[in-house]
Amino acid sequence: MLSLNYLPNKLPDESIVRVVRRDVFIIFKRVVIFAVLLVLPVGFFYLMISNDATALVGTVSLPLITLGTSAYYLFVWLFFFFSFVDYYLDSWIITNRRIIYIDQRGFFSRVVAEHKIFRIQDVTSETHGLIPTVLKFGDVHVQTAGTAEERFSFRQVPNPDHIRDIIIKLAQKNRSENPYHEI
Amino acid sequence: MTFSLIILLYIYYAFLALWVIFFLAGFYHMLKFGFKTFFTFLSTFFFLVVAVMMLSVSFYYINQLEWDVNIILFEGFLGAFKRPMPFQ
Repeated sequence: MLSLNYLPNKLPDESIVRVVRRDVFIIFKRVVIFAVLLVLPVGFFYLMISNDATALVGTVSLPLITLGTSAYYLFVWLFFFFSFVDYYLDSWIITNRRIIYIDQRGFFSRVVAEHKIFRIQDVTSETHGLIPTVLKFGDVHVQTAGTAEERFSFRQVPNPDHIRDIIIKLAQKNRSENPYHEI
Repeated sequence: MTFSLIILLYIYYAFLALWVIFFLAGFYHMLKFGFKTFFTFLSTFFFLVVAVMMLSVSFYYINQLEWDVNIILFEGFLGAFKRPMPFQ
């Protein structure tokens, strides 16, 4: 497991400033969708029983309904678990020396990238749409210099303006403390 | 043409085996790549508990059904929805 006390390749005097995940609204949306999916069979059974109650006593229909319902609920629960794992394992760790980006792309596919704070040249925050504006979540784009991936993004994060300010201040402080960019 | 109802149960067991494999994969990812925090353990435990409850309820109802029944097809197909007569 990843411990926040033992960051990979920890630099001297490095400390965690912020751990950022996507906004809670993102997982809330998925919870609502899966709640609807869990309740759907109830409506379906009500319609079925009101039309023909003998389906619940048939020699084939009852086992089919039992197995089908069980398989449906297990399937929905598994996909909700997958969805949560995908949300929860994506994170951005902002330290006073670097930004570590962890992206879980499905199962058995994971990208971990780190960008030195002093290389950051430009930070942009974006919020588009009614719900993101009201709930204050959006994207933060960070432009770096001299790396394979020059621009990376924080997606659907809470308070993107505040995160932008944090990164800019850290970059300025890092450059002023270490003008030769040794670390 | 007849087939035993237990074939449906075997198909369900095959689905269940696949389901368990995928669930364990998710469980593995949470424990290996999740942060070492109380919330990680709590959320993983929650998903596990609900999954076990679903399986328990499923097996409770499955055990109440009679699976060693032969279904006769093409008796107007409605034969599949009739209760079996005793000593049939």
